[in-house]
Amino acid sequence: VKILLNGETFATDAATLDELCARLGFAEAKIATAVNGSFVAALSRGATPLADADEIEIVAPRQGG
Amino acid sequence: MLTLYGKDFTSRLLLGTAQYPSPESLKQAVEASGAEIVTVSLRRESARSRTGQGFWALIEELGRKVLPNTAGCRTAKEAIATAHMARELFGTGWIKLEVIANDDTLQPDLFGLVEAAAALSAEGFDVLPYTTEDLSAAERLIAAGCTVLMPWAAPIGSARGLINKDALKTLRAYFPDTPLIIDAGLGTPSHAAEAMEMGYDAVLLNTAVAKAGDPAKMAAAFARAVEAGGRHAVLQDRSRVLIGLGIGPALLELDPFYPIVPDTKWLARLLPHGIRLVQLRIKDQSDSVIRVEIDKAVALCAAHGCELVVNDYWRAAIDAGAGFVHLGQEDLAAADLSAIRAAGVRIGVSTHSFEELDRALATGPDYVALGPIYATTLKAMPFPPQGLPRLAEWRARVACPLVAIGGITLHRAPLVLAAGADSVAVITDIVTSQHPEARVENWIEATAPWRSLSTGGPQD
Repeated sequence: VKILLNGETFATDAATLDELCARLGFAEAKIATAVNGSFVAALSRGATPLADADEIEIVAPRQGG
Repeated sequence: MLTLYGKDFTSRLLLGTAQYPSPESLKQAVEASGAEIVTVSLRRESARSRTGQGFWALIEELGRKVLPNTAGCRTAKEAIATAHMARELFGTGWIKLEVIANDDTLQPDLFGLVEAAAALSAEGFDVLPYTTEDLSAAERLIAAGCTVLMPWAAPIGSARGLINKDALKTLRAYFPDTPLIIDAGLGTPSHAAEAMEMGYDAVLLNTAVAKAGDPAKMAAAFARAVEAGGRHAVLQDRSRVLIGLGIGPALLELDPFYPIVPDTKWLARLLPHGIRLVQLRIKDQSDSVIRVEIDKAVALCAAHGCELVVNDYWRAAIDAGAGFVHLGQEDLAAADLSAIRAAGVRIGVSTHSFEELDRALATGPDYVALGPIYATTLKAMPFPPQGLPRLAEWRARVACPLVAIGGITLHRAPLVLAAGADSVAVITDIVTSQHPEARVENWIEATAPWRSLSTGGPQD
């Protein structure tokens, strides 16, 4: 599928959000996810299929004020 | 004590983690600031750089309460999704809610902010909204469930200080019981001190510290300014509204622990253990002994940075240069108050009844003592124990510092301070203790939460 990953076009054969995270090396990482503007909890990633044009956000802690 | 969503903090400085020249300088600045709460954001994580993973390790190492923000969100929907991600990521329902209307000034979008605050509060989040000084926005946010507000002083990173003081004072006056934290726009320590003098509960800093030549030194300077400003507003719960209206008095501060000793032998014994306020109550001595004792007490206290209160003997206190005299009701009637004042000596007065309080207040005392709070064996007292409700009544009537005395033990002290006393006077619990020095140290520790703002404690 062709998705929008953190704002950039990205082609992947991952079937679920969980798979996508694992392939990106985020399986054990400190990240949080959203699909199409809505939060997806870590436990729900396996049950979240990816479809063309899905907007996926993968975020992590960062410096902030 | 700063209480935010049921959690207590000693420090009134919150620190942002952005824009530091290096991770090491961030660490040093956090240490130097004494901040117990640090803010972080959420950003897109790249599979290649994995920047956030290293940053998280650093934050964990700091061991501070993490307050995630929703920086960069332009709509309520984005902010809500980010808050959910933050809750999972950081394991906290605390969220510094930002909905930004303008990228240049980072001015909050108050409409989106209120919408997101209501939704998140309803879901059980503890929302700390980044808002402006606008009064109606504050009302809406509180109605939406926020119990803390974070109004800006000026646009983020602008270093302009409190650009709309009247509105900030009004905000403070309207919401005397809501913790208000100045967020954004402070540039110098004096800005922070000014915010605290207005009665604000805390400040959040980032750019001014991170972009300083030496962030750690600047963090320390801000920490002192916050403390200094907080000292001015020490009786904020009562004087906040007055301060908000610009008529706040310059207030005397007393250390929350006020031991009373019978002679300078006791004084010399206890002073090295860190007491900051003490009363010398000499009984049944000749005039010459009294004068020698008071002279000695003044010198001892000066050497230890402790405030001395001389009981009764106001002439000797004036001659010796003591800071305070303490007068009972009979002494009050007999003493030459104008001579005491002319000598620059402050006056504390004992009260046991409403009549005595009226008499005391009529003389404009520097502090008022109420006793006995609990039953005491020390003096044959014609007055029954006053109890904590009576103490609260005194608190409502007395604008100057209030000292509680009589039967107060180490374990009762926090109750008494929480009931409105500024300071707890103690005799028996110390002088009859098997280990008075250790007892004094326990007292200093037990009263520390009330000291952090009022008298600051030891400086380095």
